[in-house]
Amino acid sequence: MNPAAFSDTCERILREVGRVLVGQDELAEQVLAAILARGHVLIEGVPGLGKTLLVRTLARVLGCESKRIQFTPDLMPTDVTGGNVFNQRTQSFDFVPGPVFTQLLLADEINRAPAKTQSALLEAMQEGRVTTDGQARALPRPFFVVATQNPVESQGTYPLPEAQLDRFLLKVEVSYPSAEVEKRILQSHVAGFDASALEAAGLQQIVTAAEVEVMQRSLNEVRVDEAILDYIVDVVGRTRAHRSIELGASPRASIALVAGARAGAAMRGRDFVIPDDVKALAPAVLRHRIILAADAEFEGQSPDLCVKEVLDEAKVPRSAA
Amino acid sequence: MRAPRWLLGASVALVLVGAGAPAAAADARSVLADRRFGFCHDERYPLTEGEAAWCPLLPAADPICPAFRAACLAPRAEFDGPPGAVAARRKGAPTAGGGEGRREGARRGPAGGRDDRRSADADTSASEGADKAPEDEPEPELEPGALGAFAHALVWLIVGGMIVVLLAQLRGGGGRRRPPPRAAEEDAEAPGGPLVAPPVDAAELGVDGLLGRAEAHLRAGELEAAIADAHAALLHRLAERERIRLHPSLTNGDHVRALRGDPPLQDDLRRVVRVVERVHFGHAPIVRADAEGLLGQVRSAMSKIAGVLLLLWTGLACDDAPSYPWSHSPSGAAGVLELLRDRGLEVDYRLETLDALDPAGPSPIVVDGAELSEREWSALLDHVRGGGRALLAGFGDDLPSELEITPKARAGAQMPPLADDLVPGRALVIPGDRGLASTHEGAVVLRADADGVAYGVRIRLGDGLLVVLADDRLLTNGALAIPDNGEVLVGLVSALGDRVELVEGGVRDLAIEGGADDPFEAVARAHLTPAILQLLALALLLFLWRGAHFGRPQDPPPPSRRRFAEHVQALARHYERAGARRHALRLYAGWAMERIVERHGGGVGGGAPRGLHRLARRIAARTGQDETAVMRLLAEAQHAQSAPDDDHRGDAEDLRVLRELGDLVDPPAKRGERGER
Repeated sequence: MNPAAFSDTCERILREVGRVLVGQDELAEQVLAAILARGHVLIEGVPGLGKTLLVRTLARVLGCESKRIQFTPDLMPTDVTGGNVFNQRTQSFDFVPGPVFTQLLLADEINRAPAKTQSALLEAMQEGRVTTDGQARALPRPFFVVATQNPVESQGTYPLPEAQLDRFLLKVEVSYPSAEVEKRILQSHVAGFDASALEAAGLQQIVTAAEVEVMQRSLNEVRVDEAILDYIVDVVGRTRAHRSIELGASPRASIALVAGARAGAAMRGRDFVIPDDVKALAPAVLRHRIILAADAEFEGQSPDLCVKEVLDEAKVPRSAA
Repeated sequence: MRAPRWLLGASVALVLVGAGAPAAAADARSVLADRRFGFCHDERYPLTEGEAAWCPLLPAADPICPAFRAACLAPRAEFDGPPGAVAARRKGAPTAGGGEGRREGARRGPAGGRDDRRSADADTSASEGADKAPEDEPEPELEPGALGAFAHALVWLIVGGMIVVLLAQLRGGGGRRRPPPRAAEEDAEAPGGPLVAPPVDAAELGVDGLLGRAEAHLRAGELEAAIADAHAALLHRLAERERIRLHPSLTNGDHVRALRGDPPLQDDLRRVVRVVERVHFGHAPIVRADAEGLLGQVRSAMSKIAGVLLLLWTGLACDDAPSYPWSHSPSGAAGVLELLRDRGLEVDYRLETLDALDPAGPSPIVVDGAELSEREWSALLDHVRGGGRALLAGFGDDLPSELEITPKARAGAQMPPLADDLVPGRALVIPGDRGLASTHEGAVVLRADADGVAYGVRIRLGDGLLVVLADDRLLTNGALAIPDNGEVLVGLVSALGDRVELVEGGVRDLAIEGGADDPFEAVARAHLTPAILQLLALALLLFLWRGAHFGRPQDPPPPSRRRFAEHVQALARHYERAGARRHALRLYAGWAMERIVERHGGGVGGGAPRGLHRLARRIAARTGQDETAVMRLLAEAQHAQSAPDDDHRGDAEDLRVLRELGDLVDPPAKRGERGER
């Protein structure tokens, strides 16, 4: 797929999503970038900001099958992956697939489930398969997880383990909409929009799941200059040396940054990555992959602030300054 | 250096063309046809009170100055230049004709009811035909002297304040200078530096140098280097104008976003960076057209930057009122000089004193504002006695007594030709009441009113000839608007010879006195006081609005760990003074337990002791510590959270619990890795 066609398709997808999801253009763009980069997205925000609506809308526009798991404290791993159930007729155990067997999985409020259940998703997210009773079963392609979580300070939540967090390509933070956007949301509801009945909204499918895979593969043709790789290594390396960060980002973060930047470049109609692509995506890629030092937390530092400091210090390649 | 030569060449060519053209005899009408003589072409031209004295004398039919009569009804001028009236031109103020490229004032149209009132006054004055207004009416001048001591103090206060702020900023900036970022050092040391010219090149070459080098690279076929230099030139120009900030961590996208307030320039930069990024990071081959197109875009963007600045400057410098040069006003002498020159006379300004007049040199025409010294009077009279010729205009009582000429009031403006006139058959019309009476032997009256009061007298002095006029109105542009005045003037001046020199106050002040004695006088002479006060006020407003931006922008100093430590120490001292040792321990133990549970997973659910046991077991397994010791510490922390404030275990014991909890939350090994104690 040539860059112009890629960009045009993405624009059409985002325009279609924007018809339903008002005022969350950046969120939709980042989630689409993650999907195209074969990554998973963690969306953090208080309830009621349209996280679920975004996933349902994307599934429809991308022509993917989608399922939703509402994570609760008593959710068991087999509720996610599925398990063997005794079939009385055949007198044998049959595998009943769980909701993870889908193309676009919405893991709603993922931090409400205990770590054991959260970890049930690890293999699915990393390798695209599920192993039960020693038997591995492949998940349908393409496969993305879009998880949502409430801020960890909320009551009754379990922080996601670092290993699980690292599996998410991006962590996107959603904040309250502006008054103007909120008014537009109200206007669309007054005009008859019902979030529970997307069919009535007349959403069009822009691409098929197969075409999404083609788009994913075409990202391999996006050129990443060596200077850009140096820049990414520099940025990620600086998170490990930052005085406020106890645990810096892993090499998986560097890989995620490359993949995300490639997707970002292609979405903007380019067949090469520029430093802006990296810089734009760095906060979303790095914020959940670093752990702050105790005293930095005490001082009111945040991961985003640290990433900003890192970006402010890292020298952009080919800078004219 | 090319422009002046070109200009000189063009001037010479024009002169030659002018010399070669057929000499058509110019008259006042053709001279005043020039649009620069605004009073002849603009019916809203703001006249001064003194200039309005010409109004009742202007011909209704076939006027030489078509708009002059209508301008008489227009509101009077706000003073923004030399005093308007001829007699009011005194030392320190530029005089008629003193402009003409040398020292020009300008006038502007008035505003509001005040002008209507002044217009009415002018009508009254004009109807009376009086010429007393110029001397009696002080023109409103905005000069430091006129503003008084307070203005002086205010100006010095502002200037002094700005200097102090500047010095403080420079000193502060130097004191807080941050060491260069580590990244920059690393990159400088890194092999295979960036393709673009390094910053030191940009600083040394400057924007024009970079652009020149880009063109040189282009000619040499080094396309990538040409593009890099052109890109750097544009960014540095934008940075110079403070439209963007240059920093190694900023991307092209950041620069484009910084121009959000200027969409055309933003589009230009966006187009440029697209090409640059394709060259730097893309895999398409670079072609010559790319580099040439980019250079064109850079030049276009740079011209827009300059255009915006020019527009801003013009906006600040101009207002909507038309402005006219003083030399081309009715009180100026540009038209007179042009008429005389067109008639073949060589006319110049005298830039020296009259101490050493050459008998064979040009004849001086001395006007009232020249204020001659005793020596100069003496030299002038000697020059005449020695066979020279001179014309004195408007000296009244200041004339040397030996000339035996005294002022006398004239009754009428109309002065018909006399029998032995230099210009036969031509009447002279001059407003005002200034006349002359002469008892000098052999004095010849050149023009006189109906009562015989002379306006001009010619006397012989020794071997020479001296012409004395009651005032210098005849030597102004306004006089040329009356039929025949021009011809009388030409005849009068021609009698002095082919070469004359105009000696007048403004030019003499500049040429002879040199510069002003102090800055205020210089400002006053240049009539820049309002502009400077406005600029100072603008600078003050800018300072209040944006703060002081002097020197290179610098990042704020990085947050210091010491600040946090000091904060903790201060808080601890506060607790100590308040005797809240247990309270502090309770708070810290609560926070530490939360962190420990978070780090090591699980919780203390299922009953506190069981939960603590599990937690202690996990911690011991992970850290290799003794499980019993960990359990004891956790139990002490748990106890500290619920113990009352009066549960005194002793300072040393509490401190030990605090430290051990701290080690559990932040192991000493990790602190060591971070270089902390």
